Amino acid sequence: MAYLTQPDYVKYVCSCGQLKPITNLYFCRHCLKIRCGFCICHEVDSHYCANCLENMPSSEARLKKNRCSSCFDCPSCFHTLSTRATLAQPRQPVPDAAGDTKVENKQPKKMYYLSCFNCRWTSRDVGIPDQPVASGGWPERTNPFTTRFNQLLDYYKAIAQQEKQEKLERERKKFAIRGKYITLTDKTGLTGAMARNIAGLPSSESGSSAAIANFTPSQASAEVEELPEDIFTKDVNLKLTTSMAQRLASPAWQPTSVSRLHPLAKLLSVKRSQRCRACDHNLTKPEYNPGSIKFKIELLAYYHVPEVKIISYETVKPGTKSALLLKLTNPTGHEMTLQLLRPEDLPPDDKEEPKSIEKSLEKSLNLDKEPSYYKAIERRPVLSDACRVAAPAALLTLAQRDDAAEYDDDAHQDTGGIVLWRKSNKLALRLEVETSETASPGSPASATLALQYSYRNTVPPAANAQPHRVHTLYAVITLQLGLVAG
Amino acid sequence: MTLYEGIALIQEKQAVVLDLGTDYTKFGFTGEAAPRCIIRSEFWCPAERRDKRVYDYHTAEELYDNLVHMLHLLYYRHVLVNPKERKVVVVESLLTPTLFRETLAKVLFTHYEVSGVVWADSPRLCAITLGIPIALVVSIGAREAEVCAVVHASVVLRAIQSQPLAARAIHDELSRLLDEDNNSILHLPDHIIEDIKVKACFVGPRSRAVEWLEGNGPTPAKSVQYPVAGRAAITVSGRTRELAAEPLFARDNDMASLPDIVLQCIIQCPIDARRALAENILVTGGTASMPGLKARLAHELRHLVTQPPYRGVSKALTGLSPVAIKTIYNRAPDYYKSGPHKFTILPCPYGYNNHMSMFRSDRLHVREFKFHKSSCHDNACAWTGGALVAGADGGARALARDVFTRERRLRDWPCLLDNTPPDHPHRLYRDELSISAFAVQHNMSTRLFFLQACPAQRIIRDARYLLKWHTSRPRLPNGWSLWTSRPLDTQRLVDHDFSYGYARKSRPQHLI
Ligand SMILES: [Zn+2]
Ligand SMILES: [Zn+2]
Ligand SMILES: [Zn+2]
Ligand SMILES: [Zn+2]
Repeated sequence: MAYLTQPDYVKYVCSCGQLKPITNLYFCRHCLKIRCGFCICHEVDSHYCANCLENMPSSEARLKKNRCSSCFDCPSCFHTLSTRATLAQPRQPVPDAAGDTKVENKQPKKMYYLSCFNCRWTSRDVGIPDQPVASGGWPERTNPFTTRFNQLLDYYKAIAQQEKQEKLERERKKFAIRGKYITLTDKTGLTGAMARNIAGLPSSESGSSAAIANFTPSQASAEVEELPEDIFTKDVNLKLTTSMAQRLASPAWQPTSVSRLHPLAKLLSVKRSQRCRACDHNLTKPEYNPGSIKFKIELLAYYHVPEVKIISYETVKPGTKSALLLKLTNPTGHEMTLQLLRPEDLPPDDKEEPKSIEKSLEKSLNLDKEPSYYKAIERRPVLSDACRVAAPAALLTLAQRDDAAEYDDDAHQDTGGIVLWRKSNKLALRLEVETSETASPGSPASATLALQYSYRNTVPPAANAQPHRVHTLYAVITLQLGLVAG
Repeated sequence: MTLYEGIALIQEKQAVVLDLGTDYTKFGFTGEAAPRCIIRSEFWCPAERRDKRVYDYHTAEELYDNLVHMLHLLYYRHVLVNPKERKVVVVESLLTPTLFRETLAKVLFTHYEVSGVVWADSPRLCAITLGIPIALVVSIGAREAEVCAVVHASVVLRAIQSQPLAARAIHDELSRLLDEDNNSILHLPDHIIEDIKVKACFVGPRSRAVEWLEGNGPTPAKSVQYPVAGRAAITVSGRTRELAAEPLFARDNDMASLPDIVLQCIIQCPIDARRALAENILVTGGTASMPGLKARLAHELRHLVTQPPYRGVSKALTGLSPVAIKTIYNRAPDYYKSGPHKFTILPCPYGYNNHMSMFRSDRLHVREFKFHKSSCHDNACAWTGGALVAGADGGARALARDVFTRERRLRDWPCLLDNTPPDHPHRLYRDELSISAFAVQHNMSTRLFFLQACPAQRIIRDARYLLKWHTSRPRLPNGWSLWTSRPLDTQRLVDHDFSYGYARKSRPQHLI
């Protein structure tokens, strides 16, 4: 959303090498690195229904298979179904055997059914009876294969049990040969088996062997389901057969006929919190309330990294210099000094970060987090060097963000230098793009630019750490400047 | 470590089962009878502004990104659980390219930090849904029809058959027939072709197919007008409806039709398992649910078995050994065609040709064909097997993350590291060399490794030795193909330790 219309003209290089617009990036205040959705760790925070905005605790969501109990989707077009009310005719008094008429509830009763406003499908189409209550109570279907599946599962559980038992048995023999001084409290679970033996209890195997004995394997038959006889003579009605999407929307039933469609309980959505992989700190944490779109923690690059926008540019031609107007914004609450660099002038990535002893200790204990782990994710960004932005050595200062100054609309016109104008925390720059002779006409012109900026860390420092709070950080940016002209 | 984490360690989280098909991905929890979702194997790619298929890749990096996006979709949009510290059962074909397996392993272990992965092959998982010891699994998916013989929870490797006779072949034919029906080149998008197939097409019986073939077709079924948004309705003739799946059954000189590869699979199996295999056929995979397809396959098999060459097998059947197939598969992506991964095929370590000589004079020894109905939908059969296996033993056979991080490789059946006998001299090399040397080039090219590490004569000598080793024994020692000396009623869960090598020590005693 850096620009309302895609594509993204300005992309930042994430610390993992991916190119993303600034609105898709995060900034870890602890590692002082740009992170993106690709290189951070996502975690399911809470489950909620996107339709009724009802929260569901994770344990309940697990029980209900992540489905909302009151909202349904249309099985035909997947639009949300609406509950509609009708007045049911009171039933005619039925004379019973004794001859006296039993007076039933004469009042017209409100009954509910589900209907799709999009495709006009209703729950009555497939013969689901209307319900007396507005929400819930819809008949649930059971998977026709569940019984057989559970038989198989019991059978294989018994086999797994038996295999385990045999393994233990063998291990016990091995131990018995070695000598009698082995401890019984080993972690193989031997103790339990032995204790059972000593106590003369039946071993747990007997239960499993019963399950194995009672199991009936599938029976093959020479008969195969043939085509229905009338398939060669009957007219085809395409509307009566379901599409693949309709079938797969309910994987357990996969109805082939439209008459077997059934309302789909709405799948829940999740709120995710995001975590930096390197330091395990949260980058975003949403508020629990499903109606809220706010975050408790929200370390977005948009709030911490200077934003670059293209104001305008001249057409890029091979072997020439063209003008480029950029706008820089300081989103932080502190003054920022900025300098433009060429990407190759960036200092090599500082591998030797000052580490506290406890941190390295933590690292050594936590073997899973060895650095080679990130290597799989990191990659080198592909940056073309056909176009390059001439980087003036000037040091620029950008004021802090000041919401009140937003209403102040007189920009300070700067006459000299590369600064075109200044306005509170914003700054427009007049730059030049050099294009090499070899740039092929018609190829996308992308210029690379590096940014050095000062960043004031607002994380409260650890008690014994140095109060080193202003950091010099770097960001690499690619600018899409249309196509190289011929 | 907080108290909560302590509890989580004791209570194993319910594992997930992942079946990444070419067209549709099945994903859900172990111990459940059906997957939670069956979705197209594609995701929205913002950079290219289109839905991108997972199998649409040219480099390992691109595949890595595809898999990351696909799994993100599956975990956070459909199944709604954290992948971290949870086991995964990966349902895979035995012919999955090595690059794909290894990239998937990398994504699961390093990107999503899953605690373990059970690598399970689909034929055995399908057999597991039946609860029978011997089964012939005919799996017809999107791209390939694969026929595998499962004998006592082992796949007879050298009998694996695979041909591009699946949904793609049907779609191509349907598209051609529709062009004929409408007298123009329609250029219909895939999803419309698929929809026409699903709603209108069926597979006619053999008797009618023969009539069609002889030219004087039978009375065709009713034709139908298929409406397409933004253009004139398409005529789908009765002939088209009936003949779209015909390429699967078309016999030519290669003998590579669907019934042919079923019979060839049986014929390459141990003689005493053949009858049992023919009487325990399971036809599965998404395409198998096309109306009439199973019946037609049955007709064809019953007819074909009375015809030469199957009536009395006199000549060696041509066919590729599974190792050769996998080699070709691996080389298929351009990535392997150029680049450092190019490798040469050594003589097949299974001594394929020598084994063939054993069967040359055999007859098929099959009298009748019987079919199973699995207790799940055709497109989720292998998935259900995965849900059963890991549901039964809690994923105890998973490859743990720490093992993977240490060894940085997966076991794979074509890899000499995994299928070399324990008393073979090559084992010495393996122990002499540090694991890191393998980690550098651990993709399936162990062959390449041997080529580089040993002088030429030595390779030839060792290859001969291997060949001799494999052929001089009455049974293949690798635990894959087992002869029927064992009692028939033993059933075992999938275990990659058994399947990928010679780790016989861990095999339960009564099963040897
Ligand atoms: Zn990143
Ligand atoms: Zn709801
Ligand atoms: Zn609808
Ligand atoms: Zn961090």
